[in-house]
Amino acid sequence: MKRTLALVPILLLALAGLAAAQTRGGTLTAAWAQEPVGLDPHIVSAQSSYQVLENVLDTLVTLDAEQNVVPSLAHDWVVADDGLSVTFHLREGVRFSNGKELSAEHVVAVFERILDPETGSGNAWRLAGVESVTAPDAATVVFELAAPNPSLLGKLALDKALGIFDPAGVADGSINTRPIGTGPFMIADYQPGTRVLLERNPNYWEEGLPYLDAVDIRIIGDETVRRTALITGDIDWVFSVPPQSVEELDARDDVVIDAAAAGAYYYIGVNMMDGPLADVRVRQAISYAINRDNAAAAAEFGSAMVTQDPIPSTSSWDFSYAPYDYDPERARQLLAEAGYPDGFEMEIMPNSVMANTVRAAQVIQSDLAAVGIDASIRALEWAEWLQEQGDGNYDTYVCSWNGMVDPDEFFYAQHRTGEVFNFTGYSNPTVDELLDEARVLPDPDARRDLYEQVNRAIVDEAPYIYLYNPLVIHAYRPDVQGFETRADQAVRFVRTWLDR
Amino acid sequence: MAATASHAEVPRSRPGLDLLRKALRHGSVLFGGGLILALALVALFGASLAPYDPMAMDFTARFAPPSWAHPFGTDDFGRDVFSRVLYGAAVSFQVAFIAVGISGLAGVALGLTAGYRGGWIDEVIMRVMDVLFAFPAVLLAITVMAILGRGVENAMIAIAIVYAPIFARVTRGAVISVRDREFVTAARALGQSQLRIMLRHVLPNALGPIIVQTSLSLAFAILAEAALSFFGLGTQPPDPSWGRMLSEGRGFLQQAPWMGIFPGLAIMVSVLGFNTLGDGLRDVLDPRFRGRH
Amino acid sequence: MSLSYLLRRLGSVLLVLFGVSLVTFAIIPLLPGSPARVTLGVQATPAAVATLERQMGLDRPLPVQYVSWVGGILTRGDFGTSLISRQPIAGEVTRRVPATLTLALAALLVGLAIALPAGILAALKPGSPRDLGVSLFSQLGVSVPDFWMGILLILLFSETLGWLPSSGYRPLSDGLAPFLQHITLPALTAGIISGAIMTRFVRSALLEVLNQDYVRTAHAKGLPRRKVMRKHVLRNASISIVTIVGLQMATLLSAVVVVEIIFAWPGLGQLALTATLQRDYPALQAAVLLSAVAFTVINLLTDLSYTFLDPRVSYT
Repeated sequence: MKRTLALVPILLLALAGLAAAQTRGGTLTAAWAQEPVGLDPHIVSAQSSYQVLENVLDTLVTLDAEQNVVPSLAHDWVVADDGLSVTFHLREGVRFSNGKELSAEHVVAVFERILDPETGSGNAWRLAGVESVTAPDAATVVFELAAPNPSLLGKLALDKALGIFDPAGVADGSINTRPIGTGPFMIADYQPGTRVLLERNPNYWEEGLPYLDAVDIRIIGDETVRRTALITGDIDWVFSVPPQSVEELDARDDVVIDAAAAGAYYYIGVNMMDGPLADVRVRQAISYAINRDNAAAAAEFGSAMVTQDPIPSTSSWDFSYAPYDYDPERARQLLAEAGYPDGFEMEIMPNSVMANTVRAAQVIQSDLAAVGIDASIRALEWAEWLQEQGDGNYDTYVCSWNGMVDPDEFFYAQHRTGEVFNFTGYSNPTVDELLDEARVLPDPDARRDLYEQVNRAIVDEAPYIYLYNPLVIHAYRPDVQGFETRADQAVRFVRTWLDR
Repeated sequence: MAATASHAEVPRSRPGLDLLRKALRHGSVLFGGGLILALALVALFGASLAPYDPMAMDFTARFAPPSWAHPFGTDDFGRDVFSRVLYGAAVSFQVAFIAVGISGLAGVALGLTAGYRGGWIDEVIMRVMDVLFAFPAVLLAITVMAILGRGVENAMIAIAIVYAPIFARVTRGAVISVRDREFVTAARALGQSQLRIMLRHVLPNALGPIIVQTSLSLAFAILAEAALSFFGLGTQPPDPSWGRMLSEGRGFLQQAPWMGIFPGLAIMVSVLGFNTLGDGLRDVLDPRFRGRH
Repeated sequence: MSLSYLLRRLGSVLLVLFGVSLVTFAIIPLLPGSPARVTLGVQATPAAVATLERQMGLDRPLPVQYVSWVGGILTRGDFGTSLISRQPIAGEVTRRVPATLTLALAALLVGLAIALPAGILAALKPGSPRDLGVSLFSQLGVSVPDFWMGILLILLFSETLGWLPSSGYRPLSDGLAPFLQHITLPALTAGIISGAIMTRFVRSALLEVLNQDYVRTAHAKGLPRRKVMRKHVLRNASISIVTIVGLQMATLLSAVVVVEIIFAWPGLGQLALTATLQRDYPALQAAVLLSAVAFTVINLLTDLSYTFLDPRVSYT
């Protein structure tokens, strides 16, 4: 999915660059669109925070570019025959950036903290079913589980919410502003709203890495300004470019557009507690009424793949179940059957931080009007949006789920009865059973069967109306080498170098 | 500030008709007023003049440059920018007039009371106004919007709250300069009620600066609506206001500059109109400038 | 100027600041959302929200929060800790105040560099084509929204010409050249608009003086125009001009919010805006309070400066 430049000489130059030895040193100036919303890995949830931590912390296991679980701080691991415990063997001689040697005690302290309700972590759900984390010796960590959990490794590997830091930072408060990790870089300066300066971790365990001396992360909120800063070379790398500029930037020879299909989806969340939206036919009618091609074109300007189910077609878990091809006639029929031949009034709640959701909402509104549903748009700022969503004060909202790999992540927390992120009120005992069973099944083929049933049920009952799978797009100067845009949206500068 | 100008003429209890005649002969008043009148007609009838439905999307005609079919081009949804600019006139003018109306009424009432009554009432009102005034305007508006929720109506209230202290100050100043004049003391001696004196004698003679301020505030309100749109507040999509179109257009300057240029021009012309009108009225109404040019 | 007047003015400044501080607290329960939810994002479980709000001290009654906040400022200069970045706000603010002040001052200089010559040129020959040209410029300058002006300048000077960086701030301590390169575009954005506003005031202030009898007399006496201008007109117009400059400086302090956002300029306005959107109450309160301090102090200084400029004005 990686886009390449059409211009042959530049391509050759790039290839020559790849062939050449990596140059060490230099500072990469990167631009984030949003400032980190705190840096404590257990508390934060913003991409802007996670992607800083991505370069500072290591996890026990991690994902390679193909999204396979591979060793990181643990050089290998053993799942017990009964599936009720997982034993990790830690890499030897790993040091934190402050020089302290990593021991299993540190790992245990980190996991005990996130499991402690007093921490107030929103990420603790990933460790559901973990009964204890212990350290029989300095190089071994054992997870005891209530039930077998094949998706645990994936959850440990996904982003840096479960990254390992020096637990001494909890007592002195530095975890909030400067978590000390074992990753390739360390936080040297953090000026909220302005910059985060990452410097090479001199104690990094991977020989010869990172190549860069430093990554200077600047916060540039305005998308037009961010684009200009990249073109003029004020910055080398940008987290995101305006979707409408992707094509134009791709055509330039002084900018590289690096895109990959993301393990993410944009969707309409439907509040199905009461009113017309509680009727499955109405939700299906909405799904038929929406021209997804137009919605994706308006929201992402071509940098997306329309979909009717959550998992992108680039994933090995893809089901490509698509019963809702654009059919306003069918939508009108369903509405009439449900007792709303003249439609009804409802609200769409996008959030104004994500301009793409506001654009998508306008297409949705226009398409719904065509089948008689009178929808109004209520675009809210992020803080208010979160509150309203959490309180269930909405009819429908437009949002995305990001950074998912395992099918469990696509379904469980969102749709299982009573789960914390099940904001729609969806509850189907059969789906619950399937979800519970699938997450503990070791056999991938058997899991696939169960998730296929889950996928079908959820798409049919439409608590979520899926719109499209986005691309993750980064843009950088041609002399930035060795960076890879990843499906899990992780931004890793460990192998990035500057060809200057 | 010290008032240095002296007035030889005996002030009348009512502003004369000759002022109106003078105003209508004044170039700036005519030019600014003419512009505003024209734009107001667009605001009133623009929606029915629009060649297209301003909300109608056409994904086969996105980013079309200006042409006979689409004089101002089309936007990222393939909507006709000309129709949206016409339609947006109503939204922008409505926001400006209602917001300034609210802030004018509130500000004038407060300023009149403060200026005429004086003493602790004056002190309390004006300190509260000072508190509002000391808030950075943009932040005040954003906070009000965050509390009330977004939408055109709340944008009007937010803008009104920001501009009310200015009206209060202007009114108070004008009131103080007339409250001790002969016709006011005479009315007081006749035993007229305070409210009657304030409304019948004081206010009419303090109207000049208030009218000027109204015209200038209308210009600022149009800009304020644009600023709120920049922060994603104000009109909700898909309703077009000039501010929202301009703010969204800034992301498309490479692909489709017409998305921002035309609503931008509309804003410029109306601000120009209100300001020129305000300046002209100041020449005519403000005693210090009376009889010049 | 009497001491009692000064004390009274200072007293009312303090009163206004007290009012501002009260308002910043009063709005907390009115704002939907909470910093705990913003931090936790879409992963906010009710339990985690409650725990974080307790850790942030938001479960205490508002009056208690207010007293401890004011106490911290008055006794230790401690503005509390950001609920989002968890950094001390005093440090944050000391970093940002200079950035905002420099930008506002630079914008004011740009504005004066435009308004003084343009205003004088226009006032000398009212009604002339020159006057009309100046009027037109000033009207157009006033009617361009600042975010639009900023983007246009960036596209022209950064992207097309490549002369200046598009965003960011370098303090003067980094050297004069990088400082000037970075401040030029934001200062121009705010300054052109401010200059357009001031031009109109300068023009009318001068016109008023030019029409005074003593100026006519001076002309009649055959004094050279330059001399009349310098000796009589400019001096007498200085009061009005100082008022305008004071007002503009105060206005600029809040008007640069948008410019700070566009140019990623780490000032108070940017802090206040982010804090509002993230519900980072202590940061919001500090930023608003400091803006209000700057605003009221500048207003006070403007008023006091009259006494020095015009001996006829005396405050009792």
